[in-house]
Amino acid sequence: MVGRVSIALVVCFALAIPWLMPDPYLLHVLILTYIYSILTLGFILVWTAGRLHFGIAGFWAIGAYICALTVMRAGVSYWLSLPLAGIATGIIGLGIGYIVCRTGGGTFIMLTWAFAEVIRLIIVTETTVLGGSAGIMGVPKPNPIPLPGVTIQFIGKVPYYYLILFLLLVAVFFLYRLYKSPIGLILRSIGQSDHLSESVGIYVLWYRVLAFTIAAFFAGLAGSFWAHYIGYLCPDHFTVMESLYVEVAGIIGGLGNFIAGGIIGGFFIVVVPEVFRAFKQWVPVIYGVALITVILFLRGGLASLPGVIRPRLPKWVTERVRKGNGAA
Amino acid sequence: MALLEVRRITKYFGGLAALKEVEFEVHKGELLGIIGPNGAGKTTLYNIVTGFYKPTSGSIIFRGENIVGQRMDRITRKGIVRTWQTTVLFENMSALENVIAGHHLSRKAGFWKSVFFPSRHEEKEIAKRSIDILEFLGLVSVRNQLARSLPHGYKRALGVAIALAARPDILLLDEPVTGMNPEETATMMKILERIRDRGVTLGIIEHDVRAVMSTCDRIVVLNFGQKIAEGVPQEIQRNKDVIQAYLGAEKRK
Repeated sequence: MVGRVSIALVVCFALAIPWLMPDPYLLHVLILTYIYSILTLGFILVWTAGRLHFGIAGFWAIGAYICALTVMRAGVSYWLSLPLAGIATGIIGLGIGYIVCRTGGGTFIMLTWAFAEVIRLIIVTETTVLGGSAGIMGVPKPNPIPLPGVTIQFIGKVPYYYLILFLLLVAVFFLYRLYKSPIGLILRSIGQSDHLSESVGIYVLWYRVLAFTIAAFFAGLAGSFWAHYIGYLCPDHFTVMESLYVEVAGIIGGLGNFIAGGIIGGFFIVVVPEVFRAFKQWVPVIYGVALITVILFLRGGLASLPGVIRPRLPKWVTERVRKGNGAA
Repeated sequence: MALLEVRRITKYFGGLAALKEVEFEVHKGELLGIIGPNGAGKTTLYNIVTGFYKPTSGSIIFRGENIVGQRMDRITRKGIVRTWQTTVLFENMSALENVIAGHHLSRKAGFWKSVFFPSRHEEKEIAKRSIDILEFLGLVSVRNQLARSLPHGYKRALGVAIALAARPDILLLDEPVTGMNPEETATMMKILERIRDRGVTLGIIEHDVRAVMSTCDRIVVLNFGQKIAEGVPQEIQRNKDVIQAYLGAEKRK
């Protein structure tokens, strides 16, 4: 477990980045990272409950479209429609989850994938409201936040950076509490054995739907952010590849490290294509190799790396580290 | 009065009758053995009583209420708890966590309350009771080990511990001593007797007759999906049909 101090340090560092490195490109990459981290956290939550969610992109799309449309068509303030879109996506997730969570294994994967594709195809087909495959242009920026003294305008990357960081922290805080609570234990139980969980009186379906709903809610929030950050919406953003990337992020980040795994996975999935920008067509190959390597040699994912390395370090290193920590 | 009545239970898998009109009663506070050769339908019977399968026909009466076809977690809530034949555990949790997870029904808090305002007191109480159960089953020394790393005998005992955590009125054990050496078997049977002495009614499936004969108060014998005998161990030992079922072909010649 990571101590409170190191968590606080990481959060402070994340908060300080716009001052330390005010580079728009870097901030853009980090914003994408946080979006994918939120999506991956949801994926890992459903995985913990014993199911492989292959349709995260569908819920991401639902959140994005609901939020953009309520702002553009109904003229609702962004700050109202952001949480509303998350809740609406959660409710849709509840309905879909109630159907798909009765299945398991391959059927569940196929069904979630199919639902996500159906959502995308509905968007492609429905041209009058949803804009069809041409998409929706000119999604407005979030309304300015009037604070006493200053008004926060959504110009440049910095305000967006803080907004998505805030959403990520909300997700992390909520999921951290969830995993620590008895509900977390129940989710892990049903992930390991449906039968045994049922025979101690757990209504497995309900808890699985709960995990599915929470994942949908956060994917919806990420979508609401995405729509107004990027400024236009188009169904091509939400293909099955996005769901697949979230899955890769989850596995490489570490499925057993519920929070750190999601965030590290989000970093991996966004930073790798940026680093290997010159070899863009090779990026899926890199994902594939990384995925196989992690599955074969590092079952706990990148998040488990410190725990794997520490016992193998030469003694003098560990001792020096310990002394260093003692002095600090 | 019977605590649990199995009434004319029939179960077909396709054209094959796994159980035919099986009927017996379980009395409060007894240790009932359900024996029979492999494939006699014992586990199917458990699956029906606990709601894992729906029977083709028949009813299960528990405390005067027909519970047939109800969901498994509901039946557990009513007080019928089972263990599984193959050792099913929460493999990637410690032994203690396994038993804490088994305490699901003891928690009263709803979703929001347990996420944001968890009751320390309740969790402490559950952890304490879990330790008690582990101690009762002789598992306290391995409480922090992952379930999957435990030796076979310990795993079986942990399965019983999880079931006990759900506070059963009737505890149905599916082959609790399979794969154990005589010493482990004796220990397990003693533990089961002690569970009965605490007021839990027990049902034990076993195909190894010798293991249960000395401990059970009454025995029901199944063969090819039908009840062929019921009674106290001494009667069963002398019963012709039972001997025939177990020794089979030789007698029939």
